[in-house]
Amino acid sequence: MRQTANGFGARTRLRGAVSTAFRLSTTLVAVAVGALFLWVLVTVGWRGVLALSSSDLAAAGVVHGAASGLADAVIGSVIVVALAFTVAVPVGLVAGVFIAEVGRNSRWLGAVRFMADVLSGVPAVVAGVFVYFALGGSAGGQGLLPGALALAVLMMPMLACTTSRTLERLSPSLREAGWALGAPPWRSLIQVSMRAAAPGILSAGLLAVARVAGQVAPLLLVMPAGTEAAASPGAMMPTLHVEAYRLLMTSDPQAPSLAWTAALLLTAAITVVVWLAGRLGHLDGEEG
Amino acid sequence: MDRLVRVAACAGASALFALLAVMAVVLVDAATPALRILRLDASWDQAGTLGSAVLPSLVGTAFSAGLALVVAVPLALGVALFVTEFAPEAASRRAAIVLEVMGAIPTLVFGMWGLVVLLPWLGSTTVEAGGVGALVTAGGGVVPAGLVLAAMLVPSLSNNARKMIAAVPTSLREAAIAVGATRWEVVRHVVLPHVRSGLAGAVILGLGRSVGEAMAVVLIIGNRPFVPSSVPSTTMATELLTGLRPNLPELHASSLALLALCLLIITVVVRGVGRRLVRLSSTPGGAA
Repeated sequence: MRQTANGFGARTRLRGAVSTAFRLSTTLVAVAVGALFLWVLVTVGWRGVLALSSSDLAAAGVVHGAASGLADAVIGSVIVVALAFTVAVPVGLVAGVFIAEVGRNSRWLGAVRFMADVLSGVPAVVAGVFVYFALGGSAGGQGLLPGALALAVLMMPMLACTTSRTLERLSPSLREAGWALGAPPWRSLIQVSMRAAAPGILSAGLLAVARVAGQVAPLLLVMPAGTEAAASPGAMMPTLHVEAYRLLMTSDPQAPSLAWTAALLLTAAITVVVWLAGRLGHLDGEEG
Repeated sequence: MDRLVRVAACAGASALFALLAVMAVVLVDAATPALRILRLDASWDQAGTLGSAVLPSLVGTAFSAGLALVVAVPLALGVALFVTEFAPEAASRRAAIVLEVMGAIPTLVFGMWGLVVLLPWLGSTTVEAGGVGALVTAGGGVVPAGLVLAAMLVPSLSNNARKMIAAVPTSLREAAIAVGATRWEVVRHVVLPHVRSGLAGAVILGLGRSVGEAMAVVLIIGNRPFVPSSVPSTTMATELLTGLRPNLPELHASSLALLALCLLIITVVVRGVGRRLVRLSSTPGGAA
């Protein structure tokens, strides 16, 4: 940065202009992206509410090609996500504890961490295909349990990653304080570390639920209620996920608008869960 | 008791390994008929749909994911820089949760938005009349698919970039400001070099996500598994989503399993590389 009498003013002005241009362009990009997402949300909200107001949720689906009313689909979605959560939580939590506490000095630590990372990138559709073939294809690969398993496959590694990250963020002095009081490691882990990390783990768990609950592809493959593929109706509940897609595809002119309602309900539920997670604690987990 | 905790944690950790192993074994097993034909005979066509679907879906995947990154990376970087450099304090504190909510919107919703907003806007036929089902096999193509994928990627990508940029040591920024650097020069010469490798990792993670995404794409890409004489209009993920049904001929089902296996391998490798880079930049002293 030479400060010659001649060059100084022009050069400084140029540098200032570049910086202003930079500021303007990032602001513009941020506003554009915000507008884009607002557009997406308004689209789904507006179309969803329009259909909502004109029909009785419990009955409308039956008339316009859904397996049954959307009210049933809400229940189905809740059940399948809850079931997936119950399957995934023990494994995910415990694997997270291994990464952050038990296996801290293990030579497998790197490998386990890597595995959790890599697994949380498995595409939803692949999880669906895997469960479908693992449980015997058309014979047993479809139904409520396969649906929950496919979602659990996606949820497990996410929970492991977020649990370990929350535990690792605790200050080591907390753990040491537990030890100093004479607590054996397990007691210190459960009564000190886990308790301190509980809000973080809970919020991370909610976030994992929200992310996985938005995955439609696996359910479409292994829980396609209402399609001709549904072989065992007892085990095949309708879900918002599948209904949104199927209603979009039917030829009934009224049906697509109900698909928007299904999508709106799904989005709203997920937004509430994420918001709750944000209220509860740290939203710092990085996720690709 | 200590032993119990230890054993449980180890079991949870090994469950992650087991999950990936079982996934690979199941898919390889299901793909064996298709693999055998591949080995005996060079002609892909013998595998039925595999021959007509694999090549276009590979091209379609590469193209749509590539386009998504080209569009999403500058946008995400712009948002991240705006949030960290220029946004008012209060807004920047809320950015995490806003981006998190945006990132948790079900990908199906993006697909539906693309269907009713983006496609007509890009000049394809209007969707409303004639049923959506017709359009799903007629309209779209790989370009709108890439754009929708980009919209889906922006939140997570900018959230990751935001965290990395925020982690740049304040002392480095201050040093640059002290020698008279403008806002832009601080970003250009201090911030960006500092986050370069982490950013590359985040972009690669985004690549992994867009390669495996089925739901956002399936509604608008057109799903025509033709050898791409003009524009490919299918991806590996959508091929799986639309192709897998009960009671398929063995070879057809098996080629789909092979496709899923390829997708799994691709995403695991991509994810592994991306994670490496992200971690490299976030460990102290690891940033070069």
